[in-house]
Amino acid sequence: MSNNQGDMVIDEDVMRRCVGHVLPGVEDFSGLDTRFDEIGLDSMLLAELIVQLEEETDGMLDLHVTGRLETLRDLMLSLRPLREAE
Amino acid sequence: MTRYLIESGCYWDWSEVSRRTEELAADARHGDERFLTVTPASGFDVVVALVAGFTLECELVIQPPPPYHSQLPDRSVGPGVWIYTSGTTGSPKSVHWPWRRLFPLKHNEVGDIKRWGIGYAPASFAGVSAICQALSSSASVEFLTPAWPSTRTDRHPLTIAVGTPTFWRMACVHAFRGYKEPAKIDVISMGGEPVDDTLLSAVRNTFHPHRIKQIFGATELGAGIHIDDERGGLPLDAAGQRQSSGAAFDVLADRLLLSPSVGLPYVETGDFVEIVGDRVFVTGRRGLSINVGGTKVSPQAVERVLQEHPSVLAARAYAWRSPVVGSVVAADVVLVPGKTEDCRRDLRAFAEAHLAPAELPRRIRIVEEFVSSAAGKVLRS
Repeated sequence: MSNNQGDMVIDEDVMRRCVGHVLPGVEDFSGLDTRFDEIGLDSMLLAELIVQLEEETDGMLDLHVTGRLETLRDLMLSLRPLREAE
Repeated sequence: MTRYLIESGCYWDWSEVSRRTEELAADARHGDERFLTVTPASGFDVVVALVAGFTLECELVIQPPPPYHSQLPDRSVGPGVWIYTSGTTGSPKSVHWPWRRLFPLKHNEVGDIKRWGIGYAPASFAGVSAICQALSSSASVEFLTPAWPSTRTDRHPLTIAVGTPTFWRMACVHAFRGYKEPAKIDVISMGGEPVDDTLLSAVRNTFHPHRIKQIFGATELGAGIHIDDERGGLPLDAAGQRQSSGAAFDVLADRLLLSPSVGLPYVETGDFVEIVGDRVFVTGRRGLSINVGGTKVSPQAVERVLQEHPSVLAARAYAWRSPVVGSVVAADVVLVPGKTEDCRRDLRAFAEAHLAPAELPRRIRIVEEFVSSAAGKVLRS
């Protein structure tokens, strides 16, 4: 899985693992089109999820939102390595 | 018994300290007679400068260590020491202390020479104050690093050992790693940061002192309140009561006030406090907060909760960049010896139960030890 810049940043397995860490018990969410509110992902948990993704990818991430940010797929497509934003 | 000074594995007979003091005093007499300015590189330098400055009855200016460059005092206010604050919440500020406050007149004690272990940064107010107390009683002085329990080769007991809570937390870690019984200490004293029950218990079980003292104060006000009941925080029923030293504390709303002695007004220390049961706990400091999506979080309050967990010996909380809310709280923890990573899930649940969502550390690292600041306090950057 790649983001909209073509960079390999986060794949579905990584996302699933990180969501499971932040929200124990919801590892079996239906997929990347799961909406944040379906799994109780508020802004603080979203921030924590990004921290987890940074740990998994061993880098800093930045959020480039150009449209909706409602699903895990939206999040995945909006995240880029921080160095690209600088 | 010989009086000595020990630092970084070097041992000086006191005659060497006296010789260097005389050299510095002689140099100073050739310069500005009012001011003696030093940038000490060691505790030895601070001792020499204090004795020389006191002997000359001049104004001793102890410059803070790099990277700070302080401005020299622009006026003379009388014989004493200019010390700089630690700069925890900004640039270091100069504070003047007269010699009579640092070296109260008293007779040199007869009998065994006392041995002071000093874990404070020597050029800080706490360090200078401890050195002056040691010198006032003609004690030997030993400068300690947090690793001293595992590296100290001198097995002589210490009469008193002083340092920040961070210093003592790391000393406990090193004592465990040293696999040998640490030297005996009669009195352990700690100040400059909040103290909690976990630390007091760890120090008690590691060093077995006769007494543990907590000191509450500020560089601007001096060391004020002494508590030795071996419980974290200040006793609420002592608020507004003068101690034998004349100092007293009080609480106004969520702020800690201190009056250094009888006749002097209560002054804000800059500490925020919370009353829990019969104790007053320091929960934060003015100018020291993490902005989590517009909510100001006190890192000290987060640390206190984490340190209440039975597996945690030491915690430090700091800001971690977040593209969603600006910053989130992150924390490093040092585990109680014998505890393992298995406690991570339990620690998380404990934190969730005791902290608001904005305060909850979103990243927790388990580390071996902390690096402390130049002032010996928790480094949060």
